[in-house]
Amino acid sequence: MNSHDEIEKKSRGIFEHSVATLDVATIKRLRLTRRDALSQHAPSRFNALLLPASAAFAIAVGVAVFLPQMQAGKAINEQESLYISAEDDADADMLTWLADAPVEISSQLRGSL
Amino acid sequence: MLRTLFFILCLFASTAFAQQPSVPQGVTVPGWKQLSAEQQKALQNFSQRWDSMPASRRVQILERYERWKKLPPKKREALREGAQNFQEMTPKQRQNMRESMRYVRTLPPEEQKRLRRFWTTLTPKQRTQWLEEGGPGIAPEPKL
Repeated sequence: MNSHDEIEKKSRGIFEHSVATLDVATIKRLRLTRRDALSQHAPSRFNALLLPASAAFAIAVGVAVFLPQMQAGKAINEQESLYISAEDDADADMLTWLADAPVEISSQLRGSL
Repeated sequence: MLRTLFFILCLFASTAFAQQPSVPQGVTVPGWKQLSAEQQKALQNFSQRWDSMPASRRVQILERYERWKKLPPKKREALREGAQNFQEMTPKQRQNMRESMRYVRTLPPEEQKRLRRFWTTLTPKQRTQWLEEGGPGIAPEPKL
């Protein structure tokens, strides 16, 4: 056994003695400090949910913002064109009345524009 | 005779102009090339005649297109179905519906609302029959 080992043994002895003779208040303080340090690294339940929730929110915002734009960007069809190009508000009203409550169409008497 | 003809022409012209929204002075109405890519795509049905349309008509279409864009999808779908229903009507029914709606618009707002509510309470067959007789505001309301 060389002097290095002896120093190490002595240091360990002093350390273990100091640990064994710690007062209750210091032990409590050390335990709380350890718990705090651990809790900063462990992901909380809130943190674990934050990422998926943020992703879902971002997708929802994207859909809400871009979907109407995409729909609006489509060429209007024949029926939509009837509403958009209605020559006056009475014609537009006519389509809204029929939208709420249509009339019966006889298959033999169908009109053509 | 000539005076009567002139009077009729003036009356016709004033009615035609009254239906178009006026374009305020200083407002430039975009030509086809000045429309945004989105507007061009949506309004491509009008591409051939856009530049030859009166400015007031172009404004009217752009306004209604903006209104259309803001409609919720369900309302748009209902309007598509309403337009489809209109397309399937006979020419006589369409003419009656137009005249009826023009008359309804001259009525007080409360009366317009009442007629519209009444219209929705009818069956499609009753509506057709009412329309054949002249339609809301023109022909007497059918008995329920």
